Amino acid sequence: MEEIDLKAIIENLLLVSDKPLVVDKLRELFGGKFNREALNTVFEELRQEYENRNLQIQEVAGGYQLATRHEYSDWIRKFHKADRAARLSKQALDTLSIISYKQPITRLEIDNIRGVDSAGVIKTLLEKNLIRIMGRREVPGRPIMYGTSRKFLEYFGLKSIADMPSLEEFKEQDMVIEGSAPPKLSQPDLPFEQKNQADKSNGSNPEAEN
Amino acid sequence: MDYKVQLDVFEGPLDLLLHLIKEQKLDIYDIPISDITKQYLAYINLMKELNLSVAGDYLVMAAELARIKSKMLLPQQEQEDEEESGEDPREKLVRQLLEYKKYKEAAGKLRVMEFHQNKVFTRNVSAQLEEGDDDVKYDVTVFDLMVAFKHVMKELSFRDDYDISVDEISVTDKINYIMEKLSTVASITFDDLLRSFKSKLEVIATFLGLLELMKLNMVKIQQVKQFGPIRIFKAPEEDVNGRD
Repeated sequence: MEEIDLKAIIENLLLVSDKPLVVDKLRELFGGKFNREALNTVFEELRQEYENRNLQIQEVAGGYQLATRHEYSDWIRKFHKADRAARLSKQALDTLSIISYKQPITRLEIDNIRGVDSAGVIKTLLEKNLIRIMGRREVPGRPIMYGTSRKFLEYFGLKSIADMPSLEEFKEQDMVIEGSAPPKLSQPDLPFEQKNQADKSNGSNPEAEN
Repeated sequence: MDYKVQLDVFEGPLDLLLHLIKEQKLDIYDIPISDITKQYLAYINLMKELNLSVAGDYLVMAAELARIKSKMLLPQQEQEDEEESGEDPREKLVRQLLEYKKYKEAAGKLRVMEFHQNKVFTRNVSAQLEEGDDDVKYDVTVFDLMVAFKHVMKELSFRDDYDISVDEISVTDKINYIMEKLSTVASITFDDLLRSFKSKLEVIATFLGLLELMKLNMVKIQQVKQFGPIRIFKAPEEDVNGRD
């Protein structure tokens, strides 16, 4: 009986929540009566049930959200008199890509990778809440460090930052230019170590079945 | 024509190098430095000819290319610089290019995800739709446009007397011309637009006008496939507001 209630409650909450519902928050709501696993199971069940409906439940930014289906996007745009999809500029996307894999990262480091000044793009991304300030690096000048935000995950439909596509690393042996010493590659980017702490709910997420 | 379009709004020197490597099908791990330097400088010169203000970053890169080139001419043993001895002088640049390319490729994947997620709406739909108004609407790099521009310039044979008969050509006029044209048709191809002029200066002014419109977000420019025709569209009304 409880099980059925829980599902109904969560389904209703999904409708009214204006951001993805996070399991940990629901645990609080229910006063710890249900554990993570139980709640995740309910979300998963709901998600699967909705596969046969005209709406969908998406796992995004460490939570679940009720959303429309891709195939109706044109109607929704028409209804809202927005005839085109929002797109980020190429510069914004390049910069976001760098930040997402290298966070926390300073502006200077971003500039060095892009070879151009990134102040304007960073400002735009901050305004759009796609990135956030993660503190200051303890080096002279104490530069600000940037990282991606929850909004970033929502915008791209990512479950967590670990859900990012893996970078195609250039192969070390390819780097040996004829007649030169073997290159000393700075260690390959392992961007996800420090990120896992940022997405708390990730550890317990069930595997998505696709 | 005293008109300057700031190029680095669009692309940086690394973009230009990657563009050249792709265009010339060069091996990124074994870049023929003297060729690429020549090509690079040719672009810079074209930019200058077009009176595009070339950002300092471009000149820094030009100096770096020259430095690498001279290093490669020196016999190995004469290199006294300790940290660089035995190292290919190109290595730092190659590394930088590969690093940058890697993130650009990842950005391409983000673009696909953006496209996909843009079709999904939650109850926050209005916020979601508001988001993009200051977005840029072109998929074509400014270098693609410059290639197309050079192409048109080469093919058009200009009659000398034409240039003399036209007394005043302003970029502003050409901007108005493009916008007027786009108010009657949905889109025009880049080639058709430039070929509608007979004088060299007019073609240049039109090209500059187009760059300016791109910058102002008043047009969107698309190229469906590489080397395919480049199409110019009018940006939807709500797009036209400044961005920084």
